[in-house]
Amino acid sequence: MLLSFATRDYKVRYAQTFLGYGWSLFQPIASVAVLFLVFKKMMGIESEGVGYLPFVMSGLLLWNYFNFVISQSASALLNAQNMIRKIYFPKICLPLSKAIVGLVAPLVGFLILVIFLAQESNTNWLGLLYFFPALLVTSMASMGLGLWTSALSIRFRDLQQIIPFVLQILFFLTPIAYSSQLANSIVPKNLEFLLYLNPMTGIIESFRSVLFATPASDFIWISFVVSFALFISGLRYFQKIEMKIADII
Amino acid sequence: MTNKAISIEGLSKEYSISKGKDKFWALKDIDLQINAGKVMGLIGPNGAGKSTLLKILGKITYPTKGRALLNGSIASLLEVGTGFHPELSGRENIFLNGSILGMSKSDIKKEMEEIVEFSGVGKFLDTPVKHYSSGMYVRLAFSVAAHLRSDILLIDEVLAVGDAQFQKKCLAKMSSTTRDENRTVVFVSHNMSIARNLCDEIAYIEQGELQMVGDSKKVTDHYLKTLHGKSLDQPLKDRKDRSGTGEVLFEEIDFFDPKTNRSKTLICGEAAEFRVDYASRNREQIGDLVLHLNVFNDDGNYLASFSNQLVNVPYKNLEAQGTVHCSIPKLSLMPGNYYIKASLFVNGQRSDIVDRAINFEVLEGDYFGSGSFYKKRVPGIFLEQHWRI
Repeated sequence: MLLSFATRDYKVRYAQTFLGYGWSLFQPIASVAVLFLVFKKMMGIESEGVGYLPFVMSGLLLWNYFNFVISQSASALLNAQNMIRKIYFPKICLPLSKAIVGLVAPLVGFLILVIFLAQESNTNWLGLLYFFPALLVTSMASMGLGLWTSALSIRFRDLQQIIPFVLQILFFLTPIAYSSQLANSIVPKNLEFLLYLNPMTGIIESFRSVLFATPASDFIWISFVVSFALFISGLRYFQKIEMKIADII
Repeated sequence: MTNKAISIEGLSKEYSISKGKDKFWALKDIDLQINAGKVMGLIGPNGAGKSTLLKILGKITYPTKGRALLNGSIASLLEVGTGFHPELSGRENIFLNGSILGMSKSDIKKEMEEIVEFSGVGKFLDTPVKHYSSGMYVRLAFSVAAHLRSDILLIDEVLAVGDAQFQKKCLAKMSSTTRDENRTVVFVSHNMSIARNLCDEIAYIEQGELQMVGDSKKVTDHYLKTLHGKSLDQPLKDRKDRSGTGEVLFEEIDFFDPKTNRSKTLICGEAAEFRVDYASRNREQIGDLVLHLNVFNDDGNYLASFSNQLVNVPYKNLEAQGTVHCSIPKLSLMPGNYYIKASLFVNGQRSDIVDRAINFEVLEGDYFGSGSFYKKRVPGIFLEQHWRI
């Protein structure tokens, strides 16, 4: 059933568009280009001695997936209201299927990253494999948040307004277009761990440190623990209210 | 001896309306046993709790008190075509819908040919369903559901859609599956003749309470009698079982014989006349008034409509309160009992709708003026006819 929902969303996503699946290639390239112009050319941001393109792509790739899964699953239940009222099926499939649909983009992004990396001299090619565990942890964090938000937004529709806004802010608070060293340097040492409550901070930093041998903070583990905690608690909470969804929605 | 497919014990369901302040019981203490392989009908007026009961059986919602035990796999068809995606083709939707309804991919593949044939949309199988006509859509959706291999099938009003021929086919398919495969069906219906023909037993529910269970003929007769009694009890303007915006309401509807002035008892083949009193609550003038008086026979089958829209007689800028008349030169209803479902539209909006606004009886008469009276009481319609050799 997870797969059926995912195939449905995948097929429908680019229905009646001119570029079709080309969009999944065009979008990441365009955003990398914009980030490159703004952060690198206009502001001259340091990327820890790594080429800016692979540097920003390595972060963006994971972030985009995180962003997609949360924003899609947050509205997954509300969009399927009619079905929920009329058919019995495991409703948890609705938000979770978004994590599968979303996989197309990071895989395309991964290829773009490989192309960028080929221009670099000192790439740790073996470290590229770390992308997959990093993606797994990202999917747990985003599914966890997705489960929470989809379940909560049945009662509190305000979440539908809040989520895009929060995600936009979070984009700038996550070291994607800049390095985590830069962020850590302006935060007092004893508050540095707070940055890692954002799961994406630690995940991206660890991916980069494996890939480019850049320094990594001692607090990375916090991000991983947060990701697991979000996933487990999201599942729990969703299961708790699953029975009542049809009555409330 | 017989094994129970469904046993419902002390089942109650409470809904809270408007943020938990007001609560009401949609179902109160229902006890019901359904044997495996039987077709159980659920009847009752709108809002009686039939659909809620079906939803609980289908695990869509949960009971507040009591429990429902179901033996076997369940498929519920509360609305045809839910879960269809307009952008996907018919074929893709069969897979999607089938898997939502609990079929495995290989099961769907096995049934594919039969589903397509049953639905009759063969040619358009790879067209997105948004381009389908509503009839095709419904046929495809029902075909998927009809091929589900479940022990228990829950159906709500789905047969109200689709053309008559297809409805018949569905009914045949449904009854054949129950006989052959020992499948249990729970079936909500408003159409008494369908319910009577299809169901082995019927449960009559009203205001969340089980009124009567048993032989389908006995229960439908009892139900119709109660309905009959109810609409006679109260004058139309005091009735609460109505829907619409309520801007303009029916005050009274009379259907009478203009020769004798006898109300609600008419003679087939003779003249008849409607008198409709309406009144507005807050308007001084009524911009555009459209009336529909739909005739149903006692089995709940729709027969005919009387409407000023049908004959293009617009009622514009009427006074807030008044009376309109409609005369029928020659009543072509056969002897029997009928009722009128009355709807009133103001400026295109549903203002007042009353199901079973009035009941009336048609007595035998010489419709064709041939000297032979048609005495059978089968509530249908006489049509003009000319026979030749």
